Amino acid sequence: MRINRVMTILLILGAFGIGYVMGTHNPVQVAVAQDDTTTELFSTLFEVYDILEGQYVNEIDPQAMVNGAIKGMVEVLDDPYTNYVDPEYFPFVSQELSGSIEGIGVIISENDNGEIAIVDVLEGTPAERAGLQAGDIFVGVNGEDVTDLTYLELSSRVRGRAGTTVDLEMRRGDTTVSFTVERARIEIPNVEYEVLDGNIGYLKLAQFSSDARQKLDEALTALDVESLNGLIFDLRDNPGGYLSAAVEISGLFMEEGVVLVEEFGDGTRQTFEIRNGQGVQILDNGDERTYVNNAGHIGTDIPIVVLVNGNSASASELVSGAWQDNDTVTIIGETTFGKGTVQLQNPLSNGGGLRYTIARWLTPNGEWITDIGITPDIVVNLTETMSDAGQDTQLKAALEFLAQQIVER
Amino acid sequence: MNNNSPLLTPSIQLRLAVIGFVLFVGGFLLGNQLLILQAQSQLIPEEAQRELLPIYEQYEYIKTNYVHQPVDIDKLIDGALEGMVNILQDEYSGYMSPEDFASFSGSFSGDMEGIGAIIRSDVELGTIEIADVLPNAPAEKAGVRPGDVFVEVDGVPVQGMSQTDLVTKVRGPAGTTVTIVFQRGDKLLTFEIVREKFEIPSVFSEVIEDTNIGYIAFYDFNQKTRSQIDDALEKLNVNELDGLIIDVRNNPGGLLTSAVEVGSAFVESGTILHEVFGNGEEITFESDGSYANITVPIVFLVNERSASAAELVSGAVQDNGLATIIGEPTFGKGTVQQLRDLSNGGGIRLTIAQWLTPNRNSIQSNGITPDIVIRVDNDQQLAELGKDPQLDAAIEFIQSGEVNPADFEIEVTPEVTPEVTETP
Repeated sequence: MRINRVMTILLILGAFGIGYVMGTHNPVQVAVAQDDTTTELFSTLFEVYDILEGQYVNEIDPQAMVNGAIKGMVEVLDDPYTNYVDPEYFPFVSQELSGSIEGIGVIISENDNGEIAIVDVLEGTPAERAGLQAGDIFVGVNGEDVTDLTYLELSSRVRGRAGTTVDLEMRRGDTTVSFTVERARIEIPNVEYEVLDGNIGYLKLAQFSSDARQKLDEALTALDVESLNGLIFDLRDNPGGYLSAAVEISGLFMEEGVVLVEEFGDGTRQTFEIRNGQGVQILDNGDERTYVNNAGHIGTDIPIVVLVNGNSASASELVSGAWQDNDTVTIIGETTFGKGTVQLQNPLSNGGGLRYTIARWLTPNGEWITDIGITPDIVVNLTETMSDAGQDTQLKAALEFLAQQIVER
Repeated sequence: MNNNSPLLTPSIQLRLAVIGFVLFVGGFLLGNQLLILQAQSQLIPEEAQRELLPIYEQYEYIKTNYVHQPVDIDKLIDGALEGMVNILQDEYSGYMSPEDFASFSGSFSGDMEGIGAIIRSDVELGTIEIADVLPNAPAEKAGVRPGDVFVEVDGVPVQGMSQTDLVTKVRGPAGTTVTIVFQRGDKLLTFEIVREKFEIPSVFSEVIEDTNIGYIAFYDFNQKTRSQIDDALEKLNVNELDGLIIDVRNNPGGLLTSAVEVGSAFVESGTILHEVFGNGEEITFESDGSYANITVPIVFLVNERSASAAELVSGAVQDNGLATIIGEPTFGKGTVQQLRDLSNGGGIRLTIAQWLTPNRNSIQSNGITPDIVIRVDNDQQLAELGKDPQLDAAIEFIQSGEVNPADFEIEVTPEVTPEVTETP
């Protein structure tokens, strides 16, 4: 149940599909074209733009031409992690990793008939107050028929600024029910925790959002981590998130050492290290700066298991690699997704945005894990059949491993 | 005449299959190729600069920060230009990079380097297939057949590709090899074809054996077509014959100017077509006064592969009541494209207008309906057997003044792909 729910949350949020480490570089300053090559290239663009607008047999939306050109340019790179997002979607896609969104507070999923249904209504949200229920199917939004929309298109219509309202028509069984829902800021449930048998703490992170480390700290306090016999950190189905969040979180389970090496297109490198509870960024020339402050250690030396699977990607692999190379945790599960690149997200002046690959990252031992992934210390597979039957073989293996460790201690 | 009617000579049959070169099902208006601006950004109006700014921003981001450096900036711009034109979702419009444009521009001049096949699109299925192959050209020698559907060219999937893209990928310098995967029936066939230089065939004419009927076939509409038709008419001494058959079957079209010139051979005075532009402006093309003064009965042969300029001329003679059209409903392409070169050396092919027949009928998607419909099934196989019921019907019509279409139905056992053949 728990796994299914988190995956569905990602379905709403993961506009770019699986796997991303978002860098935090300053945007490039864009000035009016200066050099001759660029000027010449853009003359051709204008030429075609002008010909199309003036000569084509049907009317054309100039904005569509610009979007088409941007998409065409991105396609040349043939990189699944470099994407352009239309102005229509960018405002809410860019909220994706902030830890909260503005909307109504439902988790949606597309069923086999292509219908988009509510699979969960989050507690304390406008959707719950309005009476929306799991199983309701979206039929209309603000008078528009939405039955043929993708979940991304639907999301862009349902989401909107807090305080505004949205009119929904939902199919419930044989009837259609209308709702007017006032949108609000919704916290994305990103961290789950509980104490399992044997006084083992269980902590699950859905994605590396900007507030992930803070939310984990709160959970660790609530779990009273000092009192635990062991801890399971579940990164299964976690597609990644911010690089800064990954560095902050890596510090939980390593007091010092290299977290990653970032390698840019121009050949320069940056090394990230944990030192005195901080993430430190070291440049090629030896210059250093504090990258993140909040990278302190968990503060106890209980045995730790990190759970991963084939959907643990990017930032999840980054921290797993750091802990594995620094030998501070035991990784259990399946070989991870295998994505070793860093993306940057820049807004464009038309309201759209560009997410594009700017670097490769290497593990402390210098491995580039793209298409390889992180191999767990203990490989335990979880088949779909077992997962559906509620049999979590990986969690069971983690508990058994920790029990053994605790006995040995 | 009936199914056992005298067969045409093999020589004619073979030549009937002679189809030009790798060309589009499409008509061109080769307009004034004037450049709108010099390659200087200050000539870009401020408003357009604002509109284009996001493209520039993205370009700068990628050029500066992308993980694989250096980025090929010409390719980025080619991609942007292609993306911009592709939003039209018009298979007759397309951007060509400088390299592609150089090979494409060869289309309208004498010799050609490529595989020697003619293609057409199925708009509904989104597929592109071989309409015909040129005798002794590389495609035919390799075993490519009409009806073969393009699946992959040099490893690139063809699904969703425009004709422009496909042609530029298939065409190339003589001596180089292109690997094409075709679907034929249920089978996927891979051909490695070495490109060659070949001559573009033009107008073919003769007096049909055992008759007193002139026959002229041409395979596209280029700058020389009209003068070659005039030569053929003179050689045939056409007005001394019983009639004239003009065969534009499999003719995919060509230049609009050529279509007007050819149409004017048959239309002494009157309208050839109306061209309607996006802004509602309209140009009516009248006969240009170069009437060929043919006084004997004229039959136009058309089929489902007669497109664009071929439909335009057929429509002009039909609406003016100047010839009898025999064959199948035509392809149905009623738009005009313009080909322009760009300041980067590339080119753009753009649909700029629709054209209407003299009676203001749009033939888009429905095509020209022949006066006498004779459908043939599996015509390539018929050709191999030396049978051409449409031509037989045309001869019968000229000789007797009437035709019973049922007499010209021939049943042929479909070869391998019954599902792609049409029911008569």
